[in-house]
Amino acid sequence: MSEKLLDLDTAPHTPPQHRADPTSSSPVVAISGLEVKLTRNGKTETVLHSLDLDIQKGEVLGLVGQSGSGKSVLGLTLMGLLPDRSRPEITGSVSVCGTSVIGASARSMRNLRRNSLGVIFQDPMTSLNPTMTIGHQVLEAAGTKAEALRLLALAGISNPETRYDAFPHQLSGGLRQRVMIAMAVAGSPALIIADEPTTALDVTVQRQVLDLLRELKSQLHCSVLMVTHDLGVAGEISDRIAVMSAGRLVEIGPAATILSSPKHEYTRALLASRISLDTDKSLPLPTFNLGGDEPTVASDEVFDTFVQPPVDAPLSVDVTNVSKTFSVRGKKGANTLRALHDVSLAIADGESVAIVGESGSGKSTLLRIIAGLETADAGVGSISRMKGSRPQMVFQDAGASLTPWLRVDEILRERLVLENVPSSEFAERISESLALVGLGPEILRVHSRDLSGGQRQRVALARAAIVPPSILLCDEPTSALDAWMAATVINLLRRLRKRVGMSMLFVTHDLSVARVIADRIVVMNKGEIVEIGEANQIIHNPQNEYTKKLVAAIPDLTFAEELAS
Amino acid sequence: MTAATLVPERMRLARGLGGRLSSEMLSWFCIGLFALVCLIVVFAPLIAPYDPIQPIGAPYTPPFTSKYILGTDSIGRDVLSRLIYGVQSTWPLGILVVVIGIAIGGAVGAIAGVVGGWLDNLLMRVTDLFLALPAALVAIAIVAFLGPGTTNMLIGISIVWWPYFARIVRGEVHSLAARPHVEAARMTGVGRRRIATRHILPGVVPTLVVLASIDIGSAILTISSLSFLGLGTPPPAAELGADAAHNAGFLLQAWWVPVIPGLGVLVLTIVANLAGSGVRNLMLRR
Amino acid sequence: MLKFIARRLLSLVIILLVLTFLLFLMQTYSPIDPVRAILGEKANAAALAALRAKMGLDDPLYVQYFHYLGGLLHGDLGVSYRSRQPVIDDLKAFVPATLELGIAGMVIAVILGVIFALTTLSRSKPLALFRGFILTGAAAPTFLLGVLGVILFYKTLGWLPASGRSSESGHGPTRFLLIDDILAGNITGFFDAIHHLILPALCIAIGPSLVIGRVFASSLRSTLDYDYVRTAQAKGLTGSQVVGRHVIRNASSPVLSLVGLQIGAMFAGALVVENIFSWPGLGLYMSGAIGASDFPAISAITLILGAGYILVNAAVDILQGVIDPRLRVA
Repeated sequence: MSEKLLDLDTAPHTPPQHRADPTSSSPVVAISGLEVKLTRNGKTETVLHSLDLDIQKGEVLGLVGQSGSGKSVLGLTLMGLLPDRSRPEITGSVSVCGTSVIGASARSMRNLRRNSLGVIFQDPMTSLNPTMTIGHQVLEAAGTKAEALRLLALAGISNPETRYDAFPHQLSGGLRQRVMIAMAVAGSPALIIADEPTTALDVTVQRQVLDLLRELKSQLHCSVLMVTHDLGVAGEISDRIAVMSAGRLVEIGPAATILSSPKHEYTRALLASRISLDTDKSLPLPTFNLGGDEPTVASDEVFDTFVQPPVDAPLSVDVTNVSKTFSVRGKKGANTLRALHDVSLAIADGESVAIVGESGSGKSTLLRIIAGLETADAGVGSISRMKGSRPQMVFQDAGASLTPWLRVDEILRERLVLENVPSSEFAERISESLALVGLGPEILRVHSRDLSGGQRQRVALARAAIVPPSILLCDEPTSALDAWMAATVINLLRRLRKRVGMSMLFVTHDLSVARVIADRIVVMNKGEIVEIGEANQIIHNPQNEYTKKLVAAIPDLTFAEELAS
Repeated sequence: MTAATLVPERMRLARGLGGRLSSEMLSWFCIGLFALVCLIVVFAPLIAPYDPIQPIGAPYTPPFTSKYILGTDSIGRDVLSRLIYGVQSTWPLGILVVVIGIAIGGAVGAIAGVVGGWLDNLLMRVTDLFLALPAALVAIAIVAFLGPGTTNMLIGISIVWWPYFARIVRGEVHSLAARPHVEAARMTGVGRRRIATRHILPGVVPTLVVLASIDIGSAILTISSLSFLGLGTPPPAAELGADAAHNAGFLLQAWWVPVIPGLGVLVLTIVANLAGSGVRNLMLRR
Repeated sequence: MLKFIARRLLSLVIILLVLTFLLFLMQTYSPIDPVRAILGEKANAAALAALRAKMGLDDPLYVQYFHYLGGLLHGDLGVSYRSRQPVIDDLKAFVPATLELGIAGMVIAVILGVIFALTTLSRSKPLALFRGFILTGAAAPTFLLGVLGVILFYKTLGWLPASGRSSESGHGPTRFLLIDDILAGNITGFFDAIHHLILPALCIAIGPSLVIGRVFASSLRSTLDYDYVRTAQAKGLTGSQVVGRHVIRNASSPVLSLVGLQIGAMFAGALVVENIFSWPGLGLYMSGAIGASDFPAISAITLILGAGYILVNAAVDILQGVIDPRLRVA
């Protein structure tokens, strides 16, 4: 139990004492020599090392780093909300809006949070109390109902009066995050701490939320600490960017400088491993092993940037007029949700196609129907089996697609047996496929539950490729991965396609990834295909309004570079 | 009533001592205690100093005052011998109830989960109905109607014991079946039966073993309660619950006669719970 | 919301029907012939046949079941083999006694459980002692707790009485002693009844209190870990506001359903403990009925306690739907 929770004194409304003085130019946040030790699973580790950082009044500071870099810990330290369970030991000096955070009493921290800080967390679903109406939750921060309604409207929520009594689960993800923002800006805070506020959102919603944040920031004249893993997001909104790695601040400077001429090798690696709309498709993506235990597969392969299948090429996937509705138990009994409506798609043998869309667009449903894991209500979907082998699928959580209690050789053998490969070829096929994904034979005796995350990815790919599938179906295989791991997987997939010569259908929400991996891109929205075209064509010359919106929503570094030049 | 809210009635499982154990050594020690009780059960006739049925001394001899270490009861039978034979009747029954519960419940849950469709619906409706009834009361009523005795007690308790396991196993099968590894197996072309036996059911086993080992203590408590109410083997057979019941009226004159069998049940429950925690720890470690 | 309640009520009716049907089947197929049990061993064949026809025992099974159900609706629980009286008359005195015991037990169990949960969040030594007491007590059979309680609090310390519901005789209008004494303004009687109630209620409460305590503790801990608690803290709410508005409400939901479910264990404990404390309730009556194979009495007791259990749990389910809007759709 948190000490702060058990501290049940009841003096909630003391007048704001720590509001930053608007006339002074002293920084809103001043950190020097900060060191934070946390105990997790019985091990005490230093999570932040001798950190010095200032946030000026009215400034937006982007704090960028990969998962585990300590960027979120820094945000929580500023608020005094590090979980007591991890027994934080904090040394150095941290001053937020004139309050010294280290060793501050629970009451003064509470007053600081109430009067001077606003916070937006990553996942608005879990960050809102599911059993309380959103109105009440905003009211807790706002004080009066009128103010709560004003804040909801300020956060861009239309009809705040009717939405006031809604529960969080009745709102969309974007609206929920707006509710979080409404609470964050209550009482015009001097500093808003935003911890990956757009990571759980669709790209077009992310764009709206970023715009809203920028607008509110200039209205309220507050400072913002923007914690994110995405340099693009940081570049969009930040005045300065601070880059963190393994608990240390490696580089800090004006956003444009950091993005255009980074000094530190880590920042350069982070920038290079970012897949953008103008990444070179013909080369393997650069993979920098930034602290992981995975081997970096060096590769000098050259990939085709576009494969134009011959007009009379046999089709590897042929789907015509497929529709699918799910029945959803809603508030008012059973509802139907139209996942797919009259969708047709043909993929030629050897071709690589990406389906791009936001959540709820039906892209995964289409993939699963093609895979045979879901049946369509209407229409015909067929996969040619002319190569004799089944289609294979790479799942979003590739690790979970391996049966935990089976050994790697059992998993690989199962597929060989079912594809009727003569058992004399087993050993050769297995060692070939392992070599292809960069694994050694010693892994064969290991139970898959004992593999590391990266090894599981590779074993899953080896299983798919051990007998060339008629088509490789990929369901967001990179969306849960850090940038360099995603790059590794994309390189492996492209190498498999090149060596094994299979067709590929790749579902993703990320247009940049789609462009790198696919010859053609299919854009889906609300269960329908809105545009199909050659990858670069879709990106650089979109025809459909929705596609245009999607492309425009991608946070990009180019404008930052323009600023710098 | 939803089943999800009903399952926790048996969260008295693992009640009592043995909630958390830390080291592996300790876990093995607790499992060793379990084995020790099993040995006592097997060798009861050799260990018990006297015949449990025949009077052998003066009535109400207090413990630790004569050659009858734990004293004698109202008609002069050796309390220690009756305790040992009582353990012999209670312990295997507790294990058996859980084994039968696992066998029936596991089968129902596995079939419902694997086959799905109308059969799943039907089996789970039945399971939910059983779960919605007060288990201990229904068991008492069943045994009362069937007539007292060990076999009837086993039947009565088993009838209310399995639905809990059925729920858990079915839930576990469903959550495993929804995992990507099962879809991956389907895409590899593995048949339905083989998916069930190779890719789903092995994953249920650890949960089941842990649940079972933790549940024996609960079963023993239930058995001793029924025995106390006169639903076990009729006298003069030695039974822990019944022995306590018959002598509860004399507890002011001869406290040890009802207390010792009660302590026997307490020790059995604690041993079962400790062993259950031990098994759980060892399984979690893997 | 109304639809949700309607669905719960429907399942309540179905479960009650299943319970009555089970009891009906058991009674029908019990090894004892009810007609012979009523008329005695020496009755002649003609009398037996006459009574059999009168009781409808020659009718098809489903007709008998509907008769049985109809009887239940009119308060007809059958005729006891032992007392040769309608069971309902015998039970009138016993049901309030057991209910009073059960409710007192539940109150104690919830109090002990909540204390237990809160102690798991602290490391102090005396609290660990309390936890050890509950842990050991919950592993003990109810009858051992009763026997030890009598030895310690009655024989050795002389603090608490060891038998019965009160030192006085007679009863008031509701037969719930606590309520009757309050109605009659009988303060000494009220405290005397509480005095009698403490020990048996404590005995049946310890087992359920551990279950409640464990679930509440883990529920508290996991609720404290939720992001929305952090959000509430970030708003600058005080500790009591965070706990009161965001933690207790969400953490108590699983506990609530558990309290309902533990009533089953509580009733079973009451059946046992009443025998030790000579508590004139259903447990004492049940023991006699079991000894005499008095099936109408056994089935009536099971029905009453079972129906109580089922009703309480349906009420708890509905209450939970009110607390947590997400549950209403399920």
